[in-house]
Amino acid sequence: MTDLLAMQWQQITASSWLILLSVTGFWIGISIYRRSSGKPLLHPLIIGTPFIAILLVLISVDFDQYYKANGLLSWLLGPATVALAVPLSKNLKPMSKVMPILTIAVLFGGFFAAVSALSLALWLTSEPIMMLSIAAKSVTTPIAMVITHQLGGLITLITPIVLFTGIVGILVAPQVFQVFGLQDERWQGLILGVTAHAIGTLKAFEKSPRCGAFSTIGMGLNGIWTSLFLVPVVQIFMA
Amino acid sequence: MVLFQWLGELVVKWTGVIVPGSLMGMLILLICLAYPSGLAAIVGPVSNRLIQNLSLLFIPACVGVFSLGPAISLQIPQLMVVIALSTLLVIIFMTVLITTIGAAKND
Repeated sequence: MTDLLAMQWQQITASSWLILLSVTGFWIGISIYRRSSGKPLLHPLIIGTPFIAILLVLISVDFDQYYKANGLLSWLLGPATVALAVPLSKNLKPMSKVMPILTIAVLFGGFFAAVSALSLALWLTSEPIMMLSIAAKSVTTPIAMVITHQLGGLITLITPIVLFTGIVGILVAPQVFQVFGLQDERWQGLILGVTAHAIGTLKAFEKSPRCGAFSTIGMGLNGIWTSLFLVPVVQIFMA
Repeated sequence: MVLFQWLGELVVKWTGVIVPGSLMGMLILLICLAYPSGLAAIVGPVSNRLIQNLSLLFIPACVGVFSLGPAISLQIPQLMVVIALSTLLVIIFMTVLITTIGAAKND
């Protein structure tokens, strides 16, 4: 217990003024994003991170130094993951009626998401580290980060991977729904949540609160479910 | 939140399951929230704030993309193809799955 606390305390106290860079980058990203009325390609991360990367080069600070200086933010990811339980629990109660279909969809969908990503990665890329880093792509970022860390993948790569997955998801999902004639907005929401996590959920809330609630559930349950099966599945693929 | 994360980390340490500690903490909180108590009123506002500013927490790791070695950066186009294809496949898969179940139920 004490070594755990000591480790976390060290992570927090390693923070320095460089953290201000992240906050500024985030703030610039957010203000541009809001002004564009929420275009997914102008996501705060897409605007903010290149900006910080350029600044780091200009003031000649290397990435490791910057990353350590942001210990406080990285540490907050833990409590933030825990915080996801609140919206999940709020939305879970009214859904007991459709629970069987919902569970089947999340179990198969989440599994298929990871397996398809791994198979395609095996086919198209040559670096084993890519496989480890892409496996958690359909999971919401805070959960994806802990899973990727556990797998030994690249934490730096998973955030843009998750982001890109979400953007692709919300761009293609409406077309797919139309082609296959899926009109029920509850299931549209669930699919958006499982496949495109937080970005999909935002999109779902634009449609209706009900659609958004299902999306939140899809995202949360898929995160939990993926963290359970991913480690053994990845081991099979890497063998 | 912090308390529940520690609880989660501890449970993971004791039981040796492969779930990350913070996820275990989330599950514990989820179970606690299922029972009506004053807990929801306490954790609700904190949780909202954290989730609203979640993107900020991803920034440090995300910046690292620009300092990846050439072995990995060269593969980014392939990576994007993998992501786009598998995302499309999953959405089609889930849509078909759900419409099939739905149709079976209505029969």
